Amino acid sequence: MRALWLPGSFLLLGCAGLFGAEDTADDGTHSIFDAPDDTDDGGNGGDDDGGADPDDDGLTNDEEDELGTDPDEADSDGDGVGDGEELDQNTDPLDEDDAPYEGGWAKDACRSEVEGEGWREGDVSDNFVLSDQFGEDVSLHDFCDRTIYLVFAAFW
Amino acid sequence: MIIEAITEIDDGSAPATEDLVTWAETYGLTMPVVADEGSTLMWKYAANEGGSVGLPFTVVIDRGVVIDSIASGTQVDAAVGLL
Repeated sequence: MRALWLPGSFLLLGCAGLFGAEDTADDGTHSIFDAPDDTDDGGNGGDDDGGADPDDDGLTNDEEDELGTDPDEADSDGDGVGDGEELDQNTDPLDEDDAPYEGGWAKDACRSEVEGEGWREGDVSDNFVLSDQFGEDVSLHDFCDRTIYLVFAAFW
Repeated sequence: MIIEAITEIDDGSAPATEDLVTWAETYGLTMPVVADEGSTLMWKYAANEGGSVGLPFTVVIDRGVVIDSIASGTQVDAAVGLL
């Protein structure tokens, strides 16, 4: 409990509990000016060190805060690939359906920007998605920043 | 990057995943080997081929996903020229 004198000479009894405030700044005081929670570290869950990487996924707390990923969970979307690796592979660390190819083929950053025009020479190729030898769906537009040599063959 | 699309296996049916694995292992391929069931994708690219194509049928696509050339037979030089 603390008393604050404010202009106008009236007494305000500031009770931390009344305002629902706790000592979130962890500075030994209970002030109504302490934020309810988690503002001292940029919103990273109470760890004051924005440069730390407690889940060891290659991303700092500040980077995870910006991305919206969980700073205490290496694989935020649970797709089996760490958040940092997903960024390196141009996949979404918050989308469990978007992960690097099992076959190791990197996806390009431009893939979400491609709009197909058709199937003729000179067209931006329409996209196709076909199942590969790992049982995964391979999308042409995932390889938008490299030359593609597409070969159709048969087993005969 | 090379993508190999298998249209059918020796009995004329569509390739299953294990067929794609066999193909990749047989030739030591580390690139995507995909199944083009019923040659559906091939015929999209081959719509102007007059209803007849030879295998391998190849498509060269440049950076930016623009279709550079479509042909029956190989086009290695065209592909290498875009690298």
